[in-house]
Amino acid sequence: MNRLVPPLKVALPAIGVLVAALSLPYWLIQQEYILTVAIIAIIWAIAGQGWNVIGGYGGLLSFGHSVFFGIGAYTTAMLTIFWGITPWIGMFVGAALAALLGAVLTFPALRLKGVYFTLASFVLSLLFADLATHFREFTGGDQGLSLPFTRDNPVMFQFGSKLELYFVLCFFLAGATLIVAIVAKSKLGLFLRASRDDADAARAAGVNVTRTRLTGLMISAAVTSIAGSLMLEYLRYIDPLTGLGANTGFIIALVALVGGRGTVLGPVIGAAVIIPTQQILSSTFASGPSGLAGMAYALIVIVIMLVNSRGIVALLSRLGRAVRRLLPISRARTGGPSDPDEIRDAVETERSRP
Amino acid sequence: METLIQVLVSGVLVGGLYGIISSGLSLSFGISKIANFAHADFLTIGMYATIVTVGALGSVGLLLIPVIALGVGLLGVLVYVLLLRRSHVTATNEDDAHLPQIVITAAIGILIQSALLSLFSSQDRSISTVLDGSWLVGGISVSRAQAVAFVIALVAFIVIDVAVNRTEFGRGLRAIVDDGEAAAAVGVNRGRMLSISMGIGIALAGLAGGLLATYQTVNPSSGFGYLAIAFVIIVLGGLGSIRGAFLAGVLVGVVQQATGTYIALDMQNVAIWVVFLVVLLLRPNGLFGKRVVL
Amino acid sequence: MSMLSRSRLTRAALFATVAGATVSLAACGGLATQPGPVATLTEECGATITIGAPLPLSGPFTDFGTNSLQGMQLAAEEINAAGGIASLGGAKLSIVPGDTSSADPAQASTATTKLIEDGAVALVGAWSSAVTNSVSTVSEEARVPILTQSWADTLSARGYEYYFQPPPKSSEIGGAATDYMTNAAKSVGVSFNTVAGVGPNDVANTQQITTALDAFAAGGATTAEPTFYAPGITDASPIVNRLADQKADLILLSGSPADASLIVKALRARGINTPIMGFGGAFVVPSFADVMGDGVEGLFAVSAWNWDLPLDGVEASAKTYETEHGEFMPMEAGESWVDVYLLAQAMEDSASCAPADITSALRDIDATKGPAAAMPGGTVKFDADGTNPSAIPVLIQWQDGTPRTVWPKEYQSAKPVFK
Repeated sequence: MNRLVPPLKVALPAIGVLVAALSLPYWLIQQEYILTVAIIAIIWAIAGQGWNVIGGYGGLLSFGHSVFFGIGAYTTAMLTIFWGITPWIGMFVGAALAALLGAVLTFPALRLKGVYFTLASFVLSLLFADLATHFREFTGGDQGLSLPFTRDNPVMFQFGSKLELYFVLCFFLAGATLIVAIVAKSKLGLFLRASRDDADAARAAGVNVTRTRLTGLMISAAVTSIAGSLMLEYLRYIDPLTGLGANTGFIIALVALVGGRGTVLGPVIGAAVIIPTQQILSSTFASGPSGLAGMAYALIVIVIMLVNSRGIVALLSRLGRAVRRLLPISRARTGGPSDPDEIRDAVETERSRP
Repeated sequence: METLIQVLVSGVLVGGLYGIISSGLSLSFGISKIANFAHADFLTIGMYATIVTVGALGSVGLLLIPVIALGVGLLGVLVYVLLLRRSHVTATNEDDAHLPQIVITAAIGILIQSALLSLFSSQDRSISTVLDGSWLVGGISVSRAQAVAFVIALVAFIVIDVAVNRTEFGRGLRAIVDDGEAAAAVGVNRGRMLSISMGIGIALAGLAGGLLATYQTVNPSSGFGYLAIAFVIIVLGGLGSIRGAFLAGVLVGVVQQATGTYIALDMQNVAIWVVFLVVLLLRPNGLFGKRVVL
Repeated sequence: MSMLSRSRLTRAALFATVAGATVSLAACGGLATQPGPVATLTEECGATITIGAPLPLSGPFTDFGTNSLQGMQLAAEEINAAGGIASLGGAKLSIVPGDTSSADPAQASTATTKLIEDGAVALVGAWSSAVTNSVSTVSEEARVPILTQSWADTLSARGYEYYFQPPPKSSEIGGAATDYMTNAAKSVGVSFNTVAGVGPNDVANTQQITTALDAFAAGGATTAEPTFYAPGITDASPIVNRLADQKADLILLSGSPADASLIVKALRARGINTPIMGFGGAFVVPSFADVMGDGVEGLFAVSAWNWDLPLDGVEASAKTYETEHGEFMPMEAGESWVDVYLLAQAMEDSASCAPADITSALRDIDATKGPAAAMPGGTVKFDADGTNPSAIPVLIQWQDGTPRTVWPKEYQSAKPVFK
């Protein structure tokens, strides 16, 4: 069953995201400033996809993914600034480092449950932001690191226009979505869900919870770190607040939670709703009393969470079969509670492998 | 030596306030399991309410701080009933309840900060009252406002502690902490208990805000700095333990002062974060906790 | 698993339809179908020329953003009342604000893009060095000039072509501050033997305080390593403990209004009445006096501009500002006011409102009179890195509730007072 899912089916959401995103500048996006909003939304969506692997499927609600985001950004920035290494390589070095830290964090992830993991990850992000500010010789302190300014230099990830950058980012988003789709369909996704729903039961059924969370965290960290590198390339600089701060950690979790955690398209939809709302509200209210935009934004988040705490995707899929057909996703398939029989099957095939 | 005593004195004074903020958080967290990310923003509301009151009435307004705390507590109950209770009722498992609550409380925090920003602008505010200035006790300086705030915090803590450990109401609360379902079976009204504990917890934050406003500069994001510290303290003190939270608060106050004075000023919090992570991993039930809560 | 059994073909067909539909919408036209980059260069300027004001109008820096905006608006009103830009047929200036937020570079970037897209031919912003960092990157990319109130050395070190900084660099401020303070004190018979320094651990402030302390040490004073704290302190006692131990007769201090006032109050409460010299914008805003109350009296601070400077146009404008806003004209308002005059002169000189022409006019500018030159130093021109070689800071002291310029001598409006 799961092991025989046709490749095309797994790739469908990613292809859908790619086509939809690529088409936006041809009909919806009329202004450059809306395009910058879209660029930011895509970056957060990628980060949210990374979060989704361990936060959505794995059930570890992290407010500290900003640490991976920041590691990606800072690694790429330092490699470019100090050694002139292209971000096309730097971002994968960053991803590898983030994955390494993700591996280290498996230890707390095994010991801490639910809210306690959230608190630990929250404090971890504060710790990293404080350290990055303190060691300013190395990180540029609060001023962060600025990339050398070049125009139209695709080799160094600097493009001639925002539109080109946008198109490139669309492919990254599709890639992240593909990774999540593959995880969702694979045994890893099944085991992650099993460990999330009931770690002890999963162990009893033969799931190696340690290895599952280790792999999940590493993938999650790597994808989020790529998003950090992309944010660096877009802003051409990175500072501790953007790269590592608690706010960044919150936004990453938020796009996935609002969109629908544990669904392939959740973070994409969440980012598509949350980020434009926030950015456009701020520029709309720029001449009004300050604080209005923040209030409106917070209210929108609260309302979405109250209407359906599993996010927009769950809300949509509940809106009936018609809507469900339009969106090639469903909780039942991708993020639903794990089925004990299925787990046993999967564990056995794994054991029987030579 | 003088500096050392000064470190201990200021540490305890600051820590007392941490203690009262954290006991409040511990009370609501231990009982409702809601990690209230807006806890510290309710503290900011208490700060502004005090600034407005004292601005209008002068030092006499200080006497109204308990009333302000009560008001902030009622606001907390309202927020709980309107926005948070639902997820307790509808959730099928623990995570299903906690995730939306964390997001909602974090959003409430943004809402409060933004509302305060609209009302009061980002300008820093402070008040001057009869409590300004300090006493010099044998070469050690003790800020009057800080000392008074500490005493009031201590009294508030003792009142709450007695209420939780010596009264019928407290027995009900503890029954819920120990076993929610069993408590419900023996007739404890869980829903009401949750609202009340949330209210008391937030009222303590409001009280702390009122006390802090007497000697601190206030702006809409002032409270946020206390959020992470309060979480650290309740974990160190043992989740759900009010006494543990207060003691850990004092301890954190002293550690912060000592790190800041002897090691590096900007590593004050780093020390606290590291201690927190280590304790969380090695002794998940806290330094003073007896029961395994996880 | 019922979902999985649904025909693969159905799904693919559905998908193709959706994809086809979206692509066919391309006919509606979007950014990608528009010719070339968005045109901001217009041959004709029309009756109004827009200057963008990307400033922090929400978050902790709101106050500074608002003051800057008010300074810009004042300059625009004055220029318009005097007949606008003469060489452009009397075109009027309009200031359009954009909220960069105080700490979200992504929002700063979006807000700036919007300003430029909506027709701003030049920018003045964004007060905070960190925000200016992302704002100026956007303006550099769009080839639109930006005049800034920020100081951090890292900004001009990037070698941007469209970046202009009339005030001095933060590394220069530190050295000049020591010199001023020493001479100002000497002029009333006071000298400093032990100097202590404390500030937030950000780049600009660590730079200023370290250079200032080094300069004091070079002048023969005893100094200890400066100490730096993480901004947003909730308690000043450890800082006061450290300062008390050093038994200094001058304390160099820096930080946000909230942090700085907490520290000053705690120092005074501990009975430490040592003179204090402040660095950074926080020490010279009107709200600092509100927070500090009487405690503000006698504090020294280094500033890049002050309302009582004897420079062209300052007196009249500062008076108008005070009537309009009910408080003295603060540093960032003054800098922004000068910035708008500089842009007006650049437009006047080039007889153009095209960003490229304004930029080259700014590169050639040599303002020596009028409000465009009303920066301490009395001349505004720009080096290749966009900094102003003539810029100098001034030393102010809070006297009777307002900051008064006490040094350099030629700008002195009140004598320094040491208690």
